[in-house]
Amino acid sequence: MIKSFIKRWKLIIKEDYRKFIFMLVLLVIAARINTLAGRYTSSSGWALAPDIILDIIPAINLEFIFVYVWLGIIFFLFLYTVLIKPKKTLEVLFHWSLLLIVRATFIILTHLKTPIEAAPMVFPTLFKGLRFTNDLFFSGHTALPLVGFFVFRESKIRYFFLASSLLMGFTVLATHQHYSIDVFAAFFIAYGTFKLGQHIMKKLGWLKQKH
Amino acid sequence: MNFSRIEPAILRSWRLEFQKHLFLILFSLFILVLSLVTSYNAGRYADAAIGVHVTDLILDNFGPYDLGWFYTYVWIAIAAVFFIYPLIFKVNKLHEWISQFALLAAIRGYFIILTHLSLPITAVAVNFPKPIAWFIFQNDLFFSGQVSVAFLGYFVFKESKIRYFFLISSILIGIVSLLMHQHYSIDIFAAFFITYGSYKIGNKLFRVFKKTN
Repeated sequence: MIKSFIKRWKLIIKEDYRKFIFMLVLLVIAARINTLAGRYTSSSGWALAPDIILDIIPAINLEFIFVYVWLGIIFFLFLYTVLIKPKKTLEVLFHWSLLLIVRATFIILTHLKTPIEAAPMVFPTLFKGLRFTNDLFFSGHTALPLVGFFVFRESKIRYFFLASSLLMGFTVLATHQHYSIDVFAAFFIAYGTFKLGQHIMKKLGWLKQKH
Repeated sequence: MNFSRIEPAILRSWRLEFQKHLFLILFSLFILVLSLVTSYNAGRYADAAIGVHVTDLILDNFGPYDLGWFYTYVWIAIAAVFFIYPLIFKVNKLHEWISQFALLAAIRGYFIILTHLSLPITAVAVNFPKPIAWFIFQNDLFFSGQVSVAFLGYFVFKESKIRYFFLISSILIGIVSLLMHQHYSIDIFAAFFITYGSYKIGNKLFRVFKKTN
């Protein structure tokens, strides 16, 4: 089984190694842009805004879901792609990169501050680089799992990613880590970014199947 | 005297199409009224809610400039084209476009009550003529209705070259809104994404209209 898996991957890389190199470079650039944008948002204290949902629901500490379940979902999406649907790896990485770039652009625009009552969330040391403050619009926790929903739309696994996205949307609101517009707009922006990504991939000739 | 004998063929064809789709047009107008009532109440709520002024990367570096005539009258012209064009040239699809507009207005009505931001303190004052002024509010910021209506035109008229007019209009209105400090940047940029999503949802919701065409 392991041999056939390695053989399969060897074939994929042999066929598409240029695309993989390009993809990895793009992902590193996207992650770097996201880090710089996150540092920019964390560097200043901006305005706190009232919010119809946050004003009604008291902040609950769901750190475990916010940190560990979210990391689990992202790893699961990555591993599912690499192990079960290796031909979709390029697609998932491309959509993640694009979403990170779009999000990095959005978070530096309008300067809202993380709600004051939000419980501090501590990421494990290895992932501390992912944690910023005031990087609010739009919610990455909600948007990133949606990539799985869109990419695997022909498989039932998509419902898991949709449910994950909804769970994360609920969690970031319940923990007051985001304002409502950050969460609800995330669904629209993730979809628009996905369609844009599909369009770009088709133009590059990277998408053979119809979407 | 038989009026139909002297009625030009083009007008007759328009009248027949209009009559054929009359029920759907009336139904879409009903949806539009519901949506506008929702939107109106959401706007009033947003104005009454205590919001905050926020700094913004673009607003802090550009303007404000007084482009009120463009912001009001050019936008009114664009919105008029949005309805008059299908009314004259594509009457068989008028109900689809009214419904798409109604859905977008409803989604916007929902968004504007969520997070309470106030109009930027540096915003240039604008005066819309009545009765449009009755539907204009101060703090209905997220997301920009003007950009989204124009951008919706790009999708609903996708089979016609007029779509480019709407695309360019949406970009211009977005730029003008920012230069006048009438919106924050996220209101403008997110409007493009939300409009596209709304259009796609509308396509699924209003499929029944297409079947009856």
